[in-house]
Amino acid sequence: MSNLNAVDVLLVEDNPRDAELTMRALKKHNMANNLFLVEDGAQALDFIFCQGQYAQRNIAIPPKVVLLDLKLPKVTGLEVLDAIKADERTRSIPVVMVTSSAEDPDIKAAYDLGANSYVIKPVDFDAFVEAMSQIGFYWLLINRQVG
Amino acid sequence: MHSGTQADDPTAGHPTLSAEICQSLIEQVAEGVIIADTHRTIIEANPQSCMLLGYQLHELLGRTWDTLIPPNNKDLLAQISSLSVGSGMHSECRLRRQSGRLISVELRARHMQNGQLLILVRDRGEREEVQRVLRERNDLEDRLAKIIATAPGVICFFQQWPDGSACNPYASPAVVDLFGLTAEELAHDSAPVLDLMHPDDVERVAANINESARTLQPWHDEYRIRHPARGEIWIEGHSIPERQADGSTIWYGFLQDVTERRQVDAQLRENAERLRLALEAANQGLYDLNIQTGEAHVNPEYALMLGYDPEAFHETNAAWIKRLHPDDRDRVIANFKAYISGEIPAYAVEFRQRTAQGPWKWILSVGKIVAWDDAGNPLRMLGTHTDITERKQAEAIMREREEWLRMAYDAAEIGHWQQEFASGKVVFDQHTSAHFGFSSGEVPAEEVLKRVHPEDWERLYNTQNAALSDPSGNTRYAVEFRVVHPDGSIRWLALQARIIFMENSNLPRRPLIAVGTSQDITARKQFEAQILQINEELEQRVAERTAQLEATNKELEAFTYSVSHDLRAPLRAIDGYTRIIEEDYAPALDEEGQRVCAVVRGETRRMGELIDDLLAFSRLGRTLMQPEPINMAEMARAVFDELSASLDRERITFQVDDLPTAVGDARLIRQVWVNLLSNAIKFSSKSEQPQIELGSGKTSAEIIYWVRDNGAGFDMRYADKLFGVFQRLHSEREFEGTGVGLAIVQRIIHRHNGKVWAEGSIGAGATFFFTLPHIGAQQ
Repeated sequence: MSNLNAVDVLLVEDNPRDAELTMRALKKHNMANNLFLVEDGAQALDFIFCQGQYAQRNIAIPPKVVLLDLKLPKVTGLEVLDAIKADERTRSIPVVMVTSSAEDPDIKAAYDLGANSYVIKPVDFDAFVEAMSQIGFYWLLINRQVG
Repeated sequence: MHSGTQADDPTAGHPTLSAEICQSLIEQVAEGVIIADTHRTIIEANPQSCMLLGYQLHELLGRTWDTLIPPNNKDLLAQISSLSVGSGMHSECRLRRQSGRLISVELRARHMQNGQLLILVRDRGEREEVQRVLRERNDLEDRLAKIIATAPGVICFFQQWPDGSACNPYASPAVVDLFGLTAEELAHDSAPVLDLMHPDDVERVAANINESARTLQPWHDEYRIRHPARGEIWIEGHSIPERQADGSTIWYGFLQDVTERRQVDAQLRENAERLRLALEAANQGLYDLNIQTGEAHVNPEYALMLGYDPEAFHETNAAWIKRLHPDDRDRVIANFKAYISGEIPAYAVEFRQRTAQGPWKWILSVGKIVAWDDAGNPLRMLGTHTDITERKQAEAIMREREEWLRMAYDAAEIGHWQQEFASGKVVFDQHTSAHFGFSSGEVPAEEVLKRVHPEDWERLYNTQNAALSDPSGNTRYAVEFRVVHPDGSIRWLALQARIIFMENSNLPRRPLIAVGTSQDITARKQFEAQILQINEELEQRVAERTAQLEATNKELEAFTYSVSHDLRAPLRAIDGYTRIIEEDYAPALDEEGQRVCAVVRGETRRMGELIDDLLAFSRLGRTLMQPEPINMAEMARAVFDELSASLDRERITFQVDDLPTAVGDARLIRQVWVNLLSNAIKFSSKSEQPQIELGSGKTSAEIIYWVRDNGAGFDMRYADKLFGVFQRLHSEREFEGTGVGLAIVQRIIHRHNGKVWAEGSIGAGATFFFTLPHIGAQQ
């Protein structure tokens, strides 16, 4: 990805298989063109807040949607979520929790912190693909954002 | 005349007087001549002296001359006796005749030379006698008048003629007081008195007077008159009649005002009657004992009490003693003697006496000595007999009850005590004494308080005070406190008390005494302390155990979390990558290759389901149940709609009767419906006309719900395996499923204290039942 400021989908996923399958699913529907992958929570924060290796990013041009897994190394998904939603500059970025956990406490915690959506990764790949396409379709094409 | 010694020779000095002439003189002379010797004995007396003094000669001789002198005339006696020899005396006096009558005489006496006494006596004559008598009579009359004046009542004479006319010839001055009439008024006619007389008495009085006149027997009567000043008064009269020559009769007698006496008599009679009635009413016997003779007068009650006929009964001290019960005899007799002799101040004693019929009767005798003789010996004793048989029986019953009570108290070692507020004295029985560690039964209140443990003083003090001043009059209190024994040991006591007040409407309520019981509860307190300690230990162990369990739970939660995440991810990868193979390398895959890929994917999916089911199953045990009322029909319908695709819904006949409301955890019960209905849908899907029916029933304790389908059914022989985890009665080929569904249903229903079971037959469908306890019985 050459242009860090032209990211539609920020995928925060530490599992390479899941990452590959997610990208494959999105690619099927042509929604992976402007997709950027980070593998842990710290990188996700750096990217969002234009820090560290992503310092040259423009914070005023956020991704259209962040697909955030709960279980991440270094910084957990909830912590990333919290950081994004707590900061004025980044609060309005749609964050979709995409995770295996169907535990109520996790769901509740995510919504409490301001998650826009919570989707469970099915084991079945077809269903997975279907879910991904719907997410992409909605958040990239239908949902309106500022500016 | 005898010739005795001639002491004084009358011829001395008169030589011509011879003894014969002297003798003649003495015999003939008008005076009485008496000669006495030195021993006063009369040795000579002439006839005149005999006549004057009324003696025969032989009676006079040998007598002493001082017997002739009236006894009250000591002067005369002395005068004569003190005559010296040769001297004489002369006196006008009186001498005593033989009859006792006195005669006035002129008396001369001379002490002769030879020691003899010569007495010459001359009668002073009738005239003097008459004068004297008259004087005496006047004196007498004066005295009489004085007596009459001071006598109570009226002395009067009453005279009545045969024709009925009457008067009062004499009436003493007091008649004015008595009748309000003067003697003059009555002197000629007694009618005024008759006018005053009460009409009811007039006839009777007149009749009595006439009777007295006829029989000349003394008259006595009582009648009323209307006194002009005093109103109605009672007059009593006594008199003695004497017939007069003119045919009238005179009564000599007296009248007196007996109004007061009659009132007093009436009062006495009334009192006596009252006493009699009182004794009768109170069933009291009365006795009047003559201590010297042993005879007693008794009232009828006395006799009746002992079962005797009052008419025939005759009481003596001896008879009374004989009737005494042998066990009481000595005591009673000793009592009696002690009282008689003055040793004890009062006589009141209880004893048994044998009644006429035979049985014993308990009697209380209370008596008093009312008369003594001059030497101080008791003469008369009055007393009462009271039948106390009933009281004695009641006392015996009470004593027995007391005995039981005491035995019970002794057995429980309950003691009792009494505190007097005025004196500050506390009295214990042996148990309470031991409770406090005292050896005596009477202790001042301060000493008792000293034994109380200092920490408990305030509580004890406050409790007693609250009872003392409680305006509602609640005078009971109970308190537990410690006492410290002299040896240092500490005991717990429980005290129950009641305060008894002096109730007097004029004075403020004052506490008199407190009475109560005490118990040594040291052992109980120790047990209590032990139990508390054990409880604490238990609590601690429970807390520890709970902490352990919580820790375990936390571990499980972490485990579950891990599982849900970590196990699924690889599965997703397997499925995904296999899909990739299917899609990207489709040309390289033949039919078999594709089938194999499908199998891989299928198994992956299955594993995911297993994981989900296991997670759900394990979560069940940990979830906190939140019971609430559940509309079962509504929930079942909703679940059915969710589970069944629209196609299924058209095919399947879903019948839900009205199901009774259940109380349970909504989420868990929903899971039950999900599992049962999904099973029903699954197993009936192969039928031509799938039918699912829901219904309910009730017993006294539970509500029964059932789900019936007309699907494949199952072999009843394996019914007990149905609800086991991972147990399946159909192969995977026939019906998919993990076999956890029913195990979950069972687990949930069991947590609700319900039951699950199933009935079915192969090819004819199955019915699954579950019960939930009635509302309110759910715990």
